[in-house]
Amino acid sequence: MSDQPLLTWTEAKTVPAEDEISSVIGRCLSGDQHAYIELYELHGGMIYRLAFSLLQDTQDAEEVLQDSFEYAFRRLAHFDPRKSAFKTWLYRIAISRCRNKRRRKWLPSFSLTQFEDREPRDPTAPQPEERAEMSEQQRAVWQAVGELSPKLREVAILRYYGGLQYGEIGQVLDIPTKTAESRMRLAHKALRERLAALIEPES
Amino acid sequence: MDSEHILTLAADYSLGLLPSEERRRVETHLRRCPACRIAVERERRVALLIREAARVSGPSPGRLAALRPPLPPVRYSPARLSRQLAPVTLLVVFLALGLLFGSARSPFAPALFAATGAPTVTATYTQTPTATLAAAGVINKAASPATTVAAPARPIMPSPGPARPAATPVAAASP
Repeated sequence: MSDQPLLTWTEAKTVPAEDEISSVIGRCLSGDQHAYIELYELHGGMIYRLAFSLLQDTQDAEEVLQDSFEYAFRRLAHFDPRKSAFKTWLYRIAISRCRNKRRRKWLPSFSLTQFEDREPRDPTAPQPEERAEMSEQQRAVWQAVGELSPKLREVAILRYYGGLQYGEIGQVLDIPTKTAESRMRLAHKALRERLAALIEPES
Repeated sequence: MDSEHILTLAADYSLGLLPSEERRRVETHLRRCPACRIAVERERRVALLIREAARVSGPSPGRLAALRPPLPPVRYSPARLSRQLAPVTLLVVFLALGLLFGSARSPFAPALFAATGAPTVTATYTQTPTATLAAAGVINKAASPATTVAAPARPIMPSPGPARPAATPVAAASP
C-alpha cells in the first residue's frame, strides 16, 4: 500500500536523486564548503515551505530554516543513509523545530498584553501583511490547513507537499505507519469539506 | 462494483491508501465510469490546492541565499592535507634530487658523496698501545696516534649521537 507511486505529488525535477545527495554529503564531510552550499540550495526552499505550511508565519519559517540547516550541517556526519533518505532526516529536524516554535508561542506569558482586551494571536493565521499579498484561494487554503490540529496538519503537509510515503511520514513523526494513514484520512476529509467551494472537477 | 462503492473508495484511492488488489479493481472501474473519475479528480484537487499554496509561499532565491546559516569550519584531515601538500612535496623531492645529482658533478658544491679512493680521516680510540699496532702494520708509527688512514673509504656521515670508541682496530689502507 505504501509503495503506490505518488502521481505528480512533487515537482520531480527539483527532487535530487539519492545518489547525487550522497555524493554531495561525501564532499561536505571531506571539507568542501561549496558542497554545503549546494546541499542548502537543493533543500532550503523545500524546508522553508514545509515550515511555512505548518506555522504560517514568515519569520518563524525563516528561523526554522536557519536552525534546521545549522543543526544538519553540524550533525551531518551522523546521518545514516541506511536508516532513511536525507530528505526524511532533514524533515525530521525541521518538524522538531516547528514543534518547538509552536510550543513557545502557547506558553503562558506574563507580559502586559494579557490585560489588553484582545484575543491572543493565532499562530497558524497569516500575518496581516502576508494576507494582503495572498490570493483569495491561498487564504482559503491556509485557513483550512490552519484549522487542522497540529498532528493532522503535519501528516497532511508531509504527504501533500512533501510527497512522502506513509512509512516515511511515520519515520519523520515517530509514529506507526497505520497511524500516519489514519491521520491522513481524517485530515483529507476535513480539508475536503472546508475547501468544497474551491474543489471543482477538471474537465 | 457500484458507483457508491467507488465514491467511498475515491478518497482512499487518491491518497494511495488502497491495497494493491483493490486499487487495480478501482482503476479498472474508473476506465469505464466518468462519474467516478470526476469523484477521484475532486479528491486529488485537495492535494493540488495545498501544493500550489505551498509552492508560491517560498522565499525568493536571493532571500533564501541570505538565510543560509554559517558554514561549518574546515577541518583539515591528514588525507586532505596530504592531497593539498602533494604538489609541494613533489617539488621539494625534485629539488632535493636535483641537488644530490648536481653535487656529484659540481666541483664547488659540497661533497655529499666522497669518491672512491679519496683519503678520509677518522679518529679512533683504542686501548692497544701504538707500538703494538705499528708492529702489526696497522698504523704508521710516525703518524699522530690520533690519525689513521681508513680503508675502504667511507662517506663522512653526520653522527646521530656521541662518538663511540671503536671496538676493533682499523685496518691500514693502501694509498
